[in-house]
Amino acid sequence: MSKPAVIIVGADKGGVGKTTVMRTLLDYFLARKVPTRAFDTESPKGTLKRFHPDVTDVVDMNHIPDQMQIFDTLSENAVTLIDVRAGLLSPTLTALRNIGFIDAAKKGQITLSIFHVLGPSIASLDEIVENSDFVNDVRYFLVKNFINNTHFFEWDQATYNSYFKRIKDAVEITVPKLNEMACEQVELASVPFLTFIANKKANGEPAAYSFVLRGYVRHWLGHVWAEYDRIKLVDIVSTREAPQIKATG
Amino acid sequence: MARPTHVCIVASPRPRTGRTTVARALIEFHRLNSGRAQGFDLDAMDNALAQFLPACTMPADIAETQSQVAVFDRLIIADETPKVVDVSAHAFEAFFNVMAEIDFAGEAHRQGVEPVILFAANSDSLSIRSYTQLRARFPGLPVAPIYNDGIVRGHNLRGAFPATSAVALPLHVPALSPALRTIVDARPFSFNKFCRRPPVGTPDLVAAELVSWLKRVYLQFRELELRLLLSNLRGSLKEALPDDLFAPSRPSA
Repeated sequence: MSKPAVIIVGADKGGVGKTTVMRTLLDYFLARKVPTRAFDTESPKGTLKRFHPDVTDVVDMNHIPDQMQIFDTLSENAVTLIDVRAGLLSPTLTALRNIGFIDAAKKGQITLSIFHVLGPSIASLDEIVENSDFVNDVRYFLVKNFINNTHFFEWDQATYNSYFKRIKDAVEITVPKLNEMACEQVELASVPFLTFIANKKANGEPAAYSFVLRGYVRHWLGHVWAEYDRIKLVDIVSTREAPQIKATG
Repeated sequence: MARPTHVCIVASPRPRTGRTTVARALIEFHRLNSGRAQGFDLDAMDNALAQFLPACTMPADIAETQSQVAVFDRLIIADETPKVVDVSAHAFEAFFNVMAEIDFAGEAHRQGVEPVILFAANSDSLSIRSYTQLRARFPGLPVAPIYNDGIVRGHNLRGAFPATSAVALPLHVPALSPALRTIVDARPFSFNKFCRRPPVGTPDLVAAELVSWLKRVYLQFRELELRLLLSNLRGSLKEALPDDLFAPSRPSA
């Protein structure tokens, strides 16, 4: 990495699967040996920390000391991922603009990518407009997350396209649906997807997860990672060549 | 070396192809040989296999995730208990979709489980197409056609259902006479029990016919089992003795 890379995952609505997307990103980078550090802004609870305790810190984005903890310690040696609490994406982007972070990204001093996880309602489209003012010069990804059985059909395609075009070079990413029971079992296990696939507990000991459910997770994660490969995510955060890796345990 | 655990998947995309009869005979063949076998009946509408052999058959609706877990999590265990899965027409697509998605074939190979697909052949275009698709979808698995004389007599199916390997040679199931068919189709029914002790009043000719039929069918199962074992042994030997074992060593510098 030649400069610090930051990935912000957020949405202005809760329950659209932000943390799930974040977990797939952490697994993706782990499998590619890209060092990461993550910040979970669901203070004080921290859902992400439950799955990735080794690399995650729980912070409160409204507290200046916590903002300093994130942005004053950016490193070229690790990708910084921030799971932004529901409803805080737009305020966070505003705060980043105010501290000159967006400008630094525009000048190429840092690499800033935003994963905007969309919900099924028209309100999600309005979020695109809200964010379009200050994100035209960063990498902006619109994530359609089907994992929660979300239906995006209520959007008229023409309407969606008109919103989508507000942000220059925005790229769409699709996260397919994961079998509900498999999803539930990974939640119960409280381990990263890769650990579940490898049939291990959080402490590394062998587990007894279902072969079928592990298969579903492996298949699903492979599709998600194919999307990240498609957008050349490793190249975005690094100057190194991105290796093609399968989601195997 | 542990014996591989055989999983026979008896399948057909069409109903009434004699698929369950073969599944029943397979379970009873293994029970006669080793005293154990586990059946899985995926015909959620009829559950014929489970009714014929209730003691050793688990019914399951493959459309439900819980049933998928119950079936495949047992099929993947290398416990040397032969397993027979009766994949009915309506479960056909869902079963093979799940099988592909969870990479059952790949994991089975790693676990020492040997699946083989026995495809009940029929002359209709869906069966022919499905057979071709299965072979393409699971290239590493033996797929053997079953020619059931009671169903497809008079049709030359060899061209449409070619053998996929030396292991997966076609199985020929002879036709049963109508009288015997009636007896065999009355649930519950055990081939082995009937042959050991035919019910009082059973004509000798009928009992002899079933014994003869069963011998012919069991002989083919035995041959299939031996071909699978031989193939497994060859694979093990190949791993133990690499091709370059006797290659001349490089001169030292």
